[in-house]
Amino acid sequence: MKLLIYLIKIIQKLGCKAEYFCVSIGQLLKISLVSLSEALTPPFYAEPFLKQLIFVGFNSLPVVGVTALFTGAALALQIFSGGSRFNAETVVPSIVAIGMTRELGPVLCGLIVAGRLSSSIAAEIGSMKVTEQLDALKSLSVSPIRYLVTPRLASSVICLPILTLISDIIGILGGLVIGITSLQFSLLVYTEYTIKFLEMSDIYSGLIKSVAFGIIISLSGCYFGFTSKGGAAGVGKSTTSAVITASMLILASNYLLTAFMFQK
Amino acid sequence: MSGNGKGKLSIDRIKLSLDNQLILNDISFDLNTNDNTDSITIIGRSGAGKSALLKCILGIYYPFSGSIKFNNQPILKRNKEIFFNKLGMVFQNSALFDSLSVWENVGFKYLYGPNKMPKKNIKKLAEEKLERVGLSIRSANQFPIELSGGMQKRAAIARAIMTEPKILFFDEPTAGLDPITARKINYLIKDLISDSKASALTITHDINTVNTIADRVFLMNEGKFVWIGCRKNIKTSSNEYIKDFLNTE
Repeated sequence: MKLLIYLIKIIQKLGCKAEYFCVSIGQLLKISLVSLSEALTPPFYAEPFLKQLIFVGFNSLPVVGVTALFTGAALALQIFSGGSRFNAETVVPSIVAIGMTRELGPVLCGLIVAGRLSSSIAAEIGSMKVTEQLDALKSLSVSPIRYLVTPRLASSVICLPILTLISDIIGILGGLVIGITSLQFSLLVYTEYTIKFLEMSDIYSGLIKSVAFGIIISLSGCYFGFTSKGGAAGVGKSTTSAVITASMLILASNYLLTAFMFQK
Repeated sequence: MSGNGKGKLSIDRIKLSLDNQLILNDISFDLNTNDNTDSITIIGRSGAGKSALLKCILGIYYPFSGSIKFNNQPILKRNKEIFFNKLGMVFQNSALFDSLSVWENVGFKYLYGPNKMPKKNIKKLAEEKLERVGLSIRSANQFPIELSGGMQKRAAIARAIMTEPKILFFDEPTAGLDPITARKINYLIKDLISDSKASALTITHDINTVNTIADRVFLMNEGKFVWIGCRKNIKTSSNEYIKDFLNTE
């Protein structure tokens, strides 16, 4: 009898978790669809959008740039060290370029921006929710999704590919600097090998991924902001959840997109 | 009250449930919004359902039964805009937008709402409203965080009266204020109601607010109205809830 009660409790808990999961997916879908439909229909709020462009794009540049520079440099050292085991040191420029454009550029850029942006969006919208500012928006005939989500979503979708492209270039430059200064490559040879083996599809694939990451980052932040509960502690929890969820979804979607684009 | 429902906000037998708990149980009343202005004050303990009622009227919560009508038309998604254009709301914690300056907060409805105006005109109008509620023009360019609690409340009132609404909602207008500032806010609300010929629905547990601005008083307990009467009758009422409320106050 005790075992039966215990089993029923477990099933109840699983049921609650499943319900919570389905409700969350439903809410996330609703936010995504409403935001998308409102992004395509007037009125458009230029000022919040421009503010977000500066915040997401321009303000993320230093951290994305530094990350890409050191990653490119470290990648060059690692590939040189690994490649020298089978006399393939000359692959350093091409592998750095392909690695940065296909994988490290978009993924690291996505993860860095997720840490910065998802948390900031969740904290801002979450604190607006607990201080009734979202209700105030409704009472002023302004849709919270149109005013808060759409500018963030649009700016992330625009900025992430640009940041990724910059990250690719800086990462390749980081490899180039190390290649010339520590690995006995000449500028001409390193550049020639980079250009020779790098294809446009490598760059495009990274940029396509970054668009998906932009959507994940902004929607994750907005979703956890809108579902914040219980004052400052609730906002703190939402912030953490937003970053963790965005990071995990970025890594999972990166695998799926890679498999979709490159698996033959 | 007009018999055809014109010029009034009618709440008819609404019931609201949140997290499987009955919050509002059979709530009905009318607020006149025609030339004979009306000021209703809803009092009651914390958790009695007062703010939930306001949120139902604003369309933030959806009652599972009953209706809310404005000028005899149910307030639905498609005509919510018409109703929202006629109301001004002051939230409990002022709910000013932190990232915007005070004048942008006051002029928000014209900056981002359906009825847009040139920015220069909005700022001028916002400054006029700020002066009307006793704030200096200097405060217009400040951010809400730079203002005191009383000043924030005044800015929130200025935002509510910006579009010269026919109905004003106040949720705990004196909460968190010292007695002197609270008294000033009460008199400011009283003046605004009579000057703008707007009707008001005020949620409060401050008896001074009731004495200053109310025409009619509704006492709410556990989601129900347990006493309805005129302000002048409140002190002489033998209702145990009223006595209890006044004694606690």
